[in-house]
Amino acid sequence: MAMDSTHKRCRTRLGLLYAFCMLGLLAGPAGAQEPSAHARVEKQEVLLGDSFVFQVEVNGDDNPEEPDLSGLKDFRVEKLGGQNTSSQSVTIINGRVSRTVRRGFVFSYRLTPQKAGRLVIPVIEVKADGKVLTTRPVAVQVEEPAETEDFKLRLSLSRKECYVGEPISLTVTWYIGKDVRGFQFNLPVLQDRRFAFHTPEVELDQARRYYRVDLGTEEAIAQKGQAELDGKQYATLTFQKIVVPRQAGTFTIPPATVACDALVGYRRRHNFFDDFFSDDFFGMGRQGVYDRFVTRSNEPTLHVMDLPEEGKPANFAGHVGRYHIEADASPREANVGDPITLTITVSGPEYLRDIELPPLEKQPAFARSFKIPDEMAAGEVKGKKKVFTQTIRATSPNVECVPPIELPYFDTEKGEYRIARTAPIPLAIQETRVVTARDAEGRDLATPKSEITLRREGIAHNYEDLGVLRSQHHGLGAILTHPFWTAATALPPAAYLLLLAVTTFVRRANANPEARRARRAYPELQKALKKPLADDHPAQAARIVLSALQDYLGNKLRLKSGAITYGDVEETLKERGVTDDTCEALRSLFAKCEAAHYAGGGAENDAESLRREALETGRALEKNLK
Amino acid sequence: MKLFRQHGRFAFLLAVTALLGAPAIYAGELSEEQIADLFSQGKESFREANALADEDPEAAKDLYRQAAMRFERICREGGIQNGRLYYNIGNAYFLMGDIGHAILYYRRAEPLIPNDSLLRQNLDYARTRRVDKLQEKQETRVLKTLFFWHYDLSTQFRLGLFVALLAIFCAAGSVRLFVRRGGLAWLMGISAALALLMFGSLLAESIAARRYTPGVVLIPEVIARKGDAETYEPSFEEPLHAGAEFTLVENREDWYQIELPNGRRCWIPSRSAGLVTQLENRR
Repeated sequence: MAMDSTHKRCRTRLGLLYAFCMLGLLAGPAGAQEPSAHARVEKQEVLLGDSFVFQVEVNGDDNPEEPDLSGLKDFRVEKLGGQNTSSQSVTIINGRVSRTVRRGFVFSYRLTPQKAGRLVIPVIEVKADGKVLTTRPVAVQVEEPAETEDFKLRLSLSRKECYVGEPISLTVTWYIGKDVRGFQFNLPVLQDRRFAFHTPEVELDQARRYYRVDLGTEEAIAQKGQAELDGKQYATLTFQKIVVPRQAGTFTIPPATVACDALVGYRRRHNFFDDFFSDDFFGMGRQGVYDRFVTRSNEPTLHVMDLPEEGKPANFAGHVGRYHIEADASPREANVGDPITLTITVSGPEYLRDIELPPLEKQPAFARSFKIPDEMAAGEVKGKKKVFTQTIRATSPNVECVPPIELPYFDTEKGEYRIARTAPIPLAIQETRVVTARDAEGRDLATPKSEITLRREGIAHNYEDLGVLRSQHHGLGAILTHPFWTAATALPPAAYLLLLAVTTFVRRANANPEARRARRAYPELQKALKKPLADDHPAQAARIVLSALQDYLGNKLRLKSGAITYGDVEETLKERGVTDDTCEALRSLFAKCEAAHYAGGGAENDAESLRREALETGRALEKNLK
Repeated sequence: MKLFRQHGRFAFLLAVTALLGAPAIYAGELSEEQIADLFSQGKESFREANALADEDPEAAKDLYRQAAMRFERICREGGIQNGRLYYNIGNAYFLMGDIGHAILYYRRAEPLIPNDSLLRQNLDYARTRRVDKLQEKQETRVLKTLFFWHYDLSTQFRLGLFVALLAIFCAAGSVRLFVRRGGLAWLMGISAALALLMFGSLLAESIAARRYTPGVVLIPEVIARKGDAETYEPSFEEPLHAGAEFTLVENREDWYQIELPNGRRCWIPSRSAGLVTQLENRR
């Protein structure tokens, strides 16, 4: 957001300056255009740390060479681009057509003064149209900004004294007491060639807010926070740079500045268009009023001491601080010439990114025993350690170990040179074997053991079989339409429900045998009367029919079967809704059967008619009985 | 005659059904031979690209692009929807350096080959290569821990578990009809509870698939805004980068309202992103 605002403001300024240039071009004299160059500044009075737009306008050529602004030592220069300002016009007076072509180009820059006072932008040379054009010098008055209660800027060094080559951190903290809309930092110390600067890694915490801060040629990640200064609570924006002094001496870090637009109040809008074109259209008719503030920092001092010559190891490679070094080798059992991966871990200093190891081939013990490639892979910073990996190959079977690796360093706490060493790593190196047919057959082959480590990097191979061209479906619906899944899902519950229904039915039937007897009464009657009865033995036929009827009534009415007479069942039958006709038919049937059975009468009734009558009566009873 | 009329009507109905059914069966515009040819050409381009990758990376990129285009044509014009084909396309894009498209195609392959270890490996690796690190919101992390089976097990595996548990429940129930033992009741209760969990998970997934559409940012950088026009302020200090995954919340003309894994919502131009499930394919 901050950078957006800065760019927006810059674009507005540029637009005004372009308009001004265009007016200049149009108002210029007609006729042949003499090439010329002019320098313009957006404003001639600025505060130290605040930036302004500077333009070099070239007339008479629309493709001039870019001017060299390296002479502007007092300013930080940022290129904003260029614009062709050529135009042409046609005039017709009394039928005479005259055409005027004006060619021009404007180079734009943002300048940030690096010191206070009257600064002069010197003569700038531009090559255009085959000529060298010059601008006039332009003076800019740069005032020192005054510190306010609302904004403070502090530079702090992690150490006040250090040695040449020792990394220390420079912390920039901006204390903010008002709402700000945009900001721009200026750290002149970054231009100082007596120091090297690095940007430390920032471990981003999701709970915090971070801003990318543009520092001209570099950038930093600033963290938002809160802090108290001089008894007042401020919001803060903090970032760090790693400073490595390149030469000894006492240095005063030049003051840094930060320019911002801060909210100083509100004013009511006067018309609709103000509201409409404002960012704060829904702001209840209020519009924020912003003022430009430039805040200057303190000037910390750093005393840089030279490294002593006394006791400096021959292979000292500029490591300053306190270092630890460890090493590991894999595999530890190998043949002569086999690659052995050597992993060297360096730790100690807070800033490790630009730390390099002295070349191994410079260490005599290594050079004697191992073949070492010329280049070592760049180390990888892992937390507070930097890990280097190097492949080495033993040159003889007499090599017994990886010798200690030495890292000479200057211990800044003790003030003396020391050497960090790794422990020797034992190796078992064998002579390279000649491969024989015996080996090819795999007999007596001693397989070298090495640990296989899975690499997470990289992607796996493509699929190339024709199964790739078979359409697939996904989702629950698609899976369930497959016969297997349909069957697997539906069959077990269906089987279970079926079994449940059958067992329930059987159990219910077995639970009340009387009811079952009643249900089976009519089928039993049908079964008993199914066989044709012998016509020549009417008494026997009548007995069978009577017996079947008695059994039926006994079962149906849940009576003890046996010698049931019509009189025994008449009342029960009527109570259970049997019609009089059916009762009469039953009575008559009983009478006929008893007469034929007991008295030998009823010759008029043949066996078949008795059987049919018994079945019809039984059917009628089945219908009527409730 | 009557029989002939009846059979004639049946034959007519069969013919109409066949005519209507034909486009559904052969939905693609390409024949099987054309599809097979395209696949061979795609494989060939991919192999050539692999061979050239070290010597001439730019030429290799062109060949990977060619391979991806051929595989994509098989999907688009051949009507083929296959997880391993999507995976191959993802690989081609990855090797081209296009992380956004690579993740999009790996995500498209995911529901089709959920248990594929190579896909899992490549997708995880592609995710490590994207610029934006968007942590999942706390609630999602808690849900993923509590309902691990829903998030960690594939649809097919959960369905298999559901079917197995249902079968155990039915078998135990069947045995219990004849043998009354306390252990059987416990077995029925536990299997029923677990089967219900699986069923609930499958149902929730099915509903989520209809309701939520995941997507991936495809262009190198896109400014996420607070509204559906360029005039709205950016939502974040940083732009979103290729490979950032999201869930589509609303589709408004040329803009998508999206929800990022950390729960933040913003708008991006629809041309800057691809959806894992095309909106017209959602059922």
